[in-house]
Amino acid sequence: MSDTATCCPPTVPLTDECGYRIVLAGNPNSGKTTLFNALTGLRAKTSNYPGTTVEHRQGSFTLDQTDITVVDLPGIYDLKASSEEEQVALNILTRERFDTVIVVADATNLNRSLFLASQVMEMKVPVLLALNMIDLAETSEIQINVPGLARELGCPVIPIVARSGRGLAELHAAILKAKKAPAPPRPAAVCGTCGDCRFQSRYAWTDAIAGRCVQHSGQPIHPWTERLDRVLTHPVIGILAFFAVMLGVFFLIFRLAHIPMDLIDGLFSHVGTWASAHLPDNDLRSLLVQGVIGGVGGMLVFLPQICILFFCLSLLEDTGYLARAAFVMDRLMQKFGLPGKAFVPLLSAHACAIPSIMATRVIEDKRDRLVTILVIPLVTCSARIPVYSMLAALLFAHNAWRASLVFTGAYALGLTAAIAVAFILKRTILKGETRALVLELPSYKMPSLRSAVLMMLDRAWVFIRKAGTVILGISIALWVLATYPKSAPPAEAVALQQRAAALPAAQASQAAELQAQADRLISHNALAHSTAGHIGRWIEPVLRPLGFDWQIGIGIVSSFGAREVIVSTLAVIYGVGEETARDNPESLYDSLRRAERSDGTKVFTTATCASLLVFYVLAMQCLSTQAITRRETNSFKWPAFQLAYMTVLAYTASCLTFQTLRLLGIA
Amino acid sequence: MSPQSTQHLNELPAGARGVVRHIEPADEALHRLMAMGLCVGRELEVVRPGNPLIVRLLGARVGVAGRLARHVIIERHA
Repeated sequence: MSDTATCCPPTVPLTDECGYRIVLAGNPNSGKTTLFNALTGLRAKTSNYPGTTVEHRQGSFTLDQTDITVVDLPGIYDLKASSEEEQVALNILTRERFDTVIVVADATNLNRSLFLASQVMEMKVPVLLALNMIDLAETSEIQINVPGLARELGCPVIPIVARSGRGLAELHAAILKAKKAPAPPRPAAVCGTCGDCRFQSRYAWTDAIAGRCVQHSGQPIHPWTERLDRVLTHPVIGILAFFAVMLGVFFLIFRLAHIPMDLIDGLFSHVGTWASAHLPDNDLRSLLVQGVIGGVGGMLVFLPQICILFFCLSLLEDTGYLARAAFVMDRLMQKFGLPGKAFVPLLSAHACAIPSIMATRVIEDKRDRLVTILVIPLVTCSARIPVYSMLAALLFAHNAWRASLVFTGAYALGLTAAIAVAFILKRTILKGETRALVLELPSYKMPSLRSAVLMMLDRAWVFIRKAGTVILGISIALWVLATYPKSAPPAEAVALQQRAAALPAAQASQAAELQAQADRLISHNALAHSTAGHIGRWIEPVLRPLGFDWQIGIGIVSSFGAREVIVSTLAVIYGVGEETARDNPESLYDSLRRAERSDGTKVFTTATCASLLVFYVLAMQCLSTQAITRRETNSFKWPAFQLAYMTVLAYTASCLTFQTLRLLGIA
Repeated sequence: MSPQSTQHLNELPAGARGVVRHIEPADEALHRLMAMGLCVGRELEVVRPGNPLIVRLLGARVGVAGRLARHVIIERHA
């Protein structure tokens, strides 16, 4: 139950303090969301409907000094609780307090819109019918007798164009009128006695009403849609067109996102440097700089990709194109046990798993959606690129051709693993037939920029809220692991510092060089003796079959929250220094290449590098993703399972890689 | 109704029109299809045959998996 319901129980007469509550109901593609956005704008909140993973949107606006709350029901065709969306819609309509339902009908397809409208009317609630896309009906020479329809239905009918705002004033007036003098709800079933098929008799009723109130000249309603669909739903050309579209989206993400990403990165390292310079050198400063500023910066850096991806997906959805993408991919995806709608999220995961997991909401079947969420983090995201770059450089120094093969192989491994795991999950713990495709292909239309911007802001906010708190907590925890217990600076570093101090002022640059060298030694020593260092040593026996030593172990532990962190951790461990590694990656690669174990053998052999690469392709190592999985599955069980299976998979595959290469003599 | 005039939906060619005569109870996804207007006695037209196929129902285009279309029996118009 919502809190308004407790503030104002249904038996008490409604007052303005309680506000006025409106529920929006309608088919998918009826323009319901566009109307919701037009009514409420930025004052909307998205959350999961309690106990489900169905999106629940609520917003508000002020009309005639009254606060009006708008609840957006999920888009549905039927009200019989045969899907989770319908169940939620039914729950809201039967159990929550509201004053009026606005049924959003598609004026170009009144017949089908009335199917749902009649079911809502039978719930004995006051109804307003918003006849959306009336402009399209007019240009297609569909004439609707609005007063006649209002008489037949026994409720107000308001023609609107949600996208342009036409008719909104009349809709507002109708809401006010209904508020002042609530229309009596219809008493009886509207479609008469139902025969053997409830669909049949109800459609007979909608046919009859549409027959009396709608006149159509016979002109095709969407000539453009027909022409475009001949190409875009073609089994071969359609798939090629889809890949071209996605290529464009990726181009935008990689081309544009790096600009704000570099800005965020630069801003946070600036703030970090500033804080280091102005705060006293103590643990609090280190916590603020490395734990808090570093953690928040590391999370916010994903925002540009999330925003661009959702902006593009919202535009594509709004044009009607995404339904075609799901249609052409369905046949192929069904072979792997997933519906066609899972393809766009899987593909988008190549940019970032977080928005992709949020984008799985389009998948209707719960199990299909869960499987998709579980395998998405296996797909190579952009945060893995710095790790791949490092390992490719270590494996094939100065050979761009072979290094690019490493990249291709890693991407292929990630995608193959995702599809294979999906296939296995659908045959084991999430057994069940993949939902057969039933998908409306709406008419193509100009997308709404306003909706795309609102969608983008909404998703960005969800990410900051849900991932932000978790990441902040974990990055502080990781900071503690890497900082405590503290150790005294090594003798070598102290000697360097003394030498630097003894140098005359004229040799300042030399002194600075010595000081920097001492700092690198100190941070290496501090990390090696910290809890993270101990964990690294402690897990070394477990990691040895993978070809990793304890120092790589520290890297794995510290990059548990964000995989790209391993690069900077290795820079500290191998004494290059974080800043040097960032400005000049080759210096890091060189010292990694030279790194030796105590017995004089090389640490980063071909086998170890290949094994580490496989590990980072398959391991979870991303807390933001885990936080979002938690939100989207509404449970702790599934993120835990995701972490567990990916860790086991990564461990096994790395072990196989290392041992095979070793047996082949490639050490 | 002669047996020749009825066919399964997935066997109809592009442009074929007809009336739904029978739907074998099967998948729960058929339920959704019925709510969208594919129920006994209603007209439809095949826009693009294949798997999945596209039908026109009540002026809307709907993509339907082949394995669902197998359960829908259509009486074709001449």
